[in-house]
Amino acid sequence: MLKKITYIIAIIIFCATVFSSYLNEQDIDDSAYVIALGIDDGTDDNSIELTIQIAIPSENGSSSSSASSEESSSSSSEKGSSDTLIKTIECKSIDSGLDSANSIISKKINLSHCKFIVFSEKIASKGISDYIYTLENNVELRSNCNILVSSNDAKEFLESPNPVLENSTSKYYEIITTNNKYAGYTVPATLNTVYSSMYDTFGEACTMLGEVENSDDNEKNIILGGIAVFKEDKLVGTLSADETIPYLIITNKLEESEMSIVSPFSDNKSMDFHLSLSSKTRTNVSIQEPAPHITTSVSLLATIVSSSADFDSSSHEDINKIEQALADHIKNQITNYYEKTAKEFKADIAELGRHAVYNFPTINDWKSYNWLDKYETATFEVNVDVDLESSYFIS
Amino acid sequence: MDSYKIKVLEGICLVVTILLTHVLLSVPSALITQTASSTLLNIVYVAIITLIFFFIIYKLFSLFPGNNIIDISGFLGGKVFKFIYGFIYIIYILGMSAIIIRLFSEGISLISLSHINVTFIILTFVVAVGITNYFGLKSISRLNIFILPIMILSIIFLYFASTGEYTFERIFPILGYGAKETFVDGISNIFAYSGIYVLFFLFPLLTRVSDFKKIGISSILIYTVLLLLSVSALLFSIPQVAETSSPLSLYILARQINLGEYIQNIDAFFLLIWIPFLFEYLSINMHFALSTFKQLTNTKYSKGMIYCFCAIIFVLSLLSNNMAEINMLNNSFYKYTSIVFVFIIGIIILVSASIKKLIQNLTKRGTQNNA
Repeated sequence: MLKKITYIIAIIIFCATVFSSYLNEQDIDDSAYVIALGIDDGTDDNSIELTIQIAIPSENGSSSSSASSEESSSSSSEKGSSDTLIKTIECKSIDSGLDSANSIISKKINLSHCKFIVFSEKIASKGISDYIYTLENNVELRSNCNILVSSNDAKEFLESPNPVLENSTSKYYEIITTNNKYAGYTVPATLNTVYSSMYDTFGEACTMLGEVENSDDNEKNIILGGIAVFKEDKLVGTLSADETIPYLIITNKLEESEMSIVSPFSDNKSMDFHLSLSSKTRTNVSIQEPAPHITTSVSLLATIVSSSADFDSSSHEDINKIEQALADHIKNQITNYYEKTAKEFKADIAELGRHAVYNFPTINDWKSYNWLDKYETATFEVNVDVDLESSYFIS
Repeated sequence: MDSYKIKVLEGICLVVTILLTHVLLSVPSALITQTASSTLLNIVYVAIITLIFFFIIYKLFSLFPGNNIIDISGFLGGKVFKFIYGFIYIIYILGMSAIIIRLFSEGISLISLSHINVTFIILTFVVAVGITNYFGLKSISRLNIFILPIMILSIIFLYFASTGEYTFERIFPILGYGAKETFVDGISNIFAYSGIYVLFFLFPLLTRVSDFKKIGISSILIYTVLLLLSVSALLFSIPQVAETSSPLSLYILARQINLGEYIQNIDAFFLLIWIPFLFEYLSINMHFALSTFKQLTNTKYSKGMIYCFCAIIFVLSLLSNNMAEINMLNNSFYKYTSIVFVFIIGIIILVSASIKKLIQNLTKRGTQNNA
């Protein structure tokens, strides 16, 4: 018995000595938690401008904000973003930039709470696969970190958040990325999904699109809306917020959204609808020569949220007219989306290759068919079925 | 070592532990690299071949009740052959343990213990394995009954918790690189089952001969299900072109699990499960290396050799300078050596010994008839 106890004590002492960090003590106060990274083009061809946005702990907020003001842009410090410190470093790679940041600030950079990685359009059009690969291999960085392309410089984008209804910029970042759940104006694009799409053979990658909005009173804020479309790893174009809804419908990612159409009863009036998928969108890819044929069948549930009282909601004829008008509008939107992504961008960001791959028995057959290039020649057929429900209390 | 007889459940746990450890490390990514989208099909195919292999060795072992593979090699080729074969087996077990311990240590060093020298992590494993073996097979086996179910639950949890990241279409094209590559070249994926070498040593440890069949079939089937879960989770989550060189395949899945807003980054929890599981694996391996040594040398007190074997594992694990060398060693040593040593040489010895026994019996019967 004594022998066993001696062994157990010996194991505990040994493990405690080896695994405890008494030689490398590192606690929460020693780390600087990055909430967003921005990547811009550098001054020369091989360099980048890495912008690091670091959260300032609330208890230190008042003292640190003054320290940060010299580094933060004047606009961000004026607008109450003093809970973050922004550093911009010219460097050759992300890792070397983070290393440089470690030497500049007093704490060790930690990426485990990073919410956003922002690429400027300029650097995105040169290709981002190297950065995505580097970030995906970073142990600290979470795979659900959001990827965004900014129409402005990434640095300016990170300096511009003006969270009026939130106390912290970090929380603000968390919330604005979820607006696709109720608005449908942006796409869920995380490090994991972008990495997968970029290396998969089923389609191309896409990310959120954001920009800095200048209000009339010269206040800045950021807005997210639209999709940044990539071909291989290069930005080839963007889709607007309205064009995002067809993408979400096709990929079954639409949770709910609002849509406005011209009233079928009066050309100068509009009707607003609340949309959701009533069943999953079915896509069928028929491998034909010379081009694949894609058939998409959409089933939507629509609720009227605002309209003039110039129709009879108890009339089947009127309801059918509205359903048909809405279905035609959505069909046009989806067709336009297909035309734009196939003919203009030549990029299948909805990953329709997933529905085509069944037709090929081996990888060689699939690769030689070359779906990613065939997509631009594809023909499309869209069927939209809308079930209308009225949400009016008074009709 | 000791005359402890194991029960069916203990036997199944021992075999599954040896098989499953490699799934934790590089086996899933190695299988996917070999057969891409047809990996699941290939695993089912390889599992059937392994079951056939098992039935053959079961029938052959039945001719030698109470003997393990070392005894049978002695019967086949005499003491010298038995010594050479047993000695190679010890090297194989220790070498494999060294590779596994290094891979795992490199993995946890990369993930969370980056400030600790990998040598100290390896040393901790080696010391703990040495101490565990001091208590013998009974304590190793009993402890394993508690640890293995937790490990199995962690794999099942990983599979279902990762479903949000799945692209099920990655199973297509269904034949992967082609029918030949899946069913002919892909037979080399049988290395994933090379942990069944433990069955070669299990016969003398069982109370009933019929237990061998139960243990073999159950462990192969349980392992196949867990292998399918692990491989499919990895296959569905990561593009096939993005080959992983991570020393811990399952960690790639663990790090992407997010259960809502508040439960994120739970990979450390999995490490907590995997570390004692690896201890178990190394302890079982060490036990069979020691029992083989005892069998070869007829040493009464072989526990003294624990320190020696621990030192050998420690030194072997530190021989490689970098991850590239370890991966290369893992791919060549584990994959090809296992196929040749476990499946080919193992069956050759068993078949040859059976033929020899048959001839002996016929000769004996002929002599008796003549008499």
